[in-house]
Amino acid sequence: MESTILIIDDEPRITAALMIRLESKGYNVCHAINGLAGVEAACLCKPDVIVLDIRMPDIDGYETCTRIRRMPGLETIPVVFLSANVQDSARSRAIACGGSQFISKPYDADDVIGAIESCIIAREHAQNSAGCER
Amino acid sequence: MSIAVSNEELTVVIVDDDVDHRQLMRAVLERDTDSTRTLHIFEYGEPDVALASLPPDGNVVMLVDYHLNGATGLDWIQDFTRTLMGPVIIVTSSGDEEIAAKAFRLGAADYLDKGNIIREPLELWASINRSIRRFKLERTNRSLARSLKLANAELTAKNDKLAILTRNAQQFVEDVAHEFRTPLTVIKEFASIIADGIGGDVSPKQISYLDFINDATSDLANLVDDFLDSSKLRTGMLRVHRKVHKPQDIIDSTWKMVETRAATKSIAVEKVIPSQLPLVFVDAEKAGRALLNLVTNAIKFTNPDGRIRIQAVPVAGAVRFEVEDEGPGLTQEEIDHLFERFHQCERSHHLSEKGFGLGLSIVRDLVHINLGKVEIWSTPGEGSVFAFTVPAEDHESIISAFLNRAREQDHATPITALAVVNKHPVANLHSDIDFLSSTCYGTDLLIPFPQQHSIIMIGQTAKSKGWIERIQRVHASRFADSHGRDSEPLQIEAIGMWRTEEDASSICKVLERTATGVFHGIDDTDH
Repeated sequence: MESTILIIDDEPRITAALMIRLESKGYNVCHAINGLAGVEAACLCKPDVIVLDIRMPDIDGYETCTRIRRMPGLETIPVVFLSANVQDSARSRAIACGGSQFISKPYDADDVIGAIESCIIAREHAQNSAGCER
Repeated sequence: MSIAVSNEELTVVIVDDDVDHRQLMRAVLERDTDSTRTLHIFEYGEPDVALASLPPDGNVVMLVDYHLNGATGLDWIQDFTRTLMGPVIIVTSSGDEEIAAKAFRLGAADYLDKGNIIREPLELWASINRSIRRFKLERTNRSLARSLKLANAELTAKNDKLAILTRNAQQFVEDVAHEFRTPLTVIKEFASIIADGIGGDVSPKQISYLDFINDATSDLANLVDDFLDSSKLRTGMLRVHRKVHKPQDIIDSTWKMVETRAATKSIAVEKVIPSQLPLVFVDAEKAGRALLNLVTNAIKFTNPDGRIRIQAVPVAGAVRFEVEDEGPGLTQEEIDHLFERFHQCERSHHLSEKGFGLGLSIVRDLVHINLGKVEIWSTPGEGSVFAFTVPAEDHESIISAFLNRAREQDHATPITALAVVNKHPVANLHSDIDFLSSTCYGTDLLIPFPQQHSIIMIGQTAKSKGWIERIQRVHASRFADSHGRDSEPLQIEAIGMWRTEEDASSICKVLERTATGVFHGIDDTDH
């Protein structure tokens, strides 16, 4: 089954670039234009990985990540932060609020694909071992 | 004997229920007054009448009898001092020390015995003059203290405003950097999408053109990072995360970013990395950017089909990264001017190659923050070697590098070491390091002692107490916010202060001993 990636970014051209790139790799992609829409989209499309921007007009990426983590069924969903914020604090805040990876913009597409793939593998591994215990 | 305070008017208010005593006082005052001074005397038998008729202002003194009808002078003294713009002297015919002490406590300027006034009439004037002088002095002091307080408040307000301005300016630089990066991401990624053939077939020629776009975009992104670091460094807000790294990794990550650019210009890049290199203690991102700047410059100044060599060399207590080019080379004079900010090389054949100056000045800053040194060797017409050192990972090398930098910066200010102990050894030392590096200057040094669960902080300051207080204040405010209650204060101890000329190995011994000792201390109390 192909994996679904949710992109939450307020810059439509970056969303477009990511969609083209990810769809060419065979991913199913949905997207949201801001944090609140992103939380809603995460509940609806139950993605396998979320790619999340930090600076957005309504709630920022940290808050979005925190809210998604509080949703039933979305507690363990991997979040890849993709941000043009390069302050030293941004990375540690992103990880502190539950992000799995942090990639800065301008990004290297291979890094983003690599991060998504490793998140999917880690999640499948975790689900499999949880299944075995049951 | 001169008994006048100054050539001015003086008003004396006498409050005494005994008319004879009032007249006695008046007689003494009038007889011995200074002829240059105009004297006004008012007499009152009742204190409440006196209080209602006190002169509003001017040079005035009050003589109040201790024994008043149905009361004492002490009962009234505070009313008088509160209303009168002058000193109040208590006069009594049967005083004792206890009354005197009480009078002074309540605000009396002096305490006189009537018998004494009769025996020594000049004593009354002496007391009046003394009291007025002291009253005026106190008034001046109060007013000075008030203006000092005002000036202080004004200064604090200005300081706060300046801090906000600096923060705003820094935020502005960060915002601009962010706004630059977003469109750069779009340009870079779409160039890359086209080059990868996702939108359809592309010719090899088109791919090479797209590589130009990609390279130029990376240049601009690096330039934005350089500007950001440069501005942060100048406001003391640049944070550094030094860790142990392999020199090879720093060269490899830089290599990845310049590979295509060198190939485009048909420049051969050789990497020389000996297998026996010590590990280094650096902020790898910043050291990598310094190296990237040097390699980018080398590519710029080397003719097509030329050669560049990137090399890591072990030197005493450090590793030196060298970038050797076959460019036009530099004269000693040009080398001397090279690191001035925004300095552009003046020789005509260099003028077409813009961007030389900022790149090198940022290299110096990035190397400086990594406790290293920039070195240049060059022969005009033959090429140059641009190099920088970073300290090896052992404590002595790190401290030696720190001392070198401190001496260069300001040899007179001592270096101070603090020990920060993690009381709960299970907690993550990294989060402590993250917190501490967010409170200290980029030039400060943080050395983790993971086995001892402690961190040694070293900075160039003579004020260890102020430094500790500042860290604890930031710690309290940051961690009280997130938990809604006061957090446990961070345990920080000052462990030593040394002159910058001090020998690194002896400092190192003290630090290692302290880190171990501090841990044992905690261990004992915990068990």
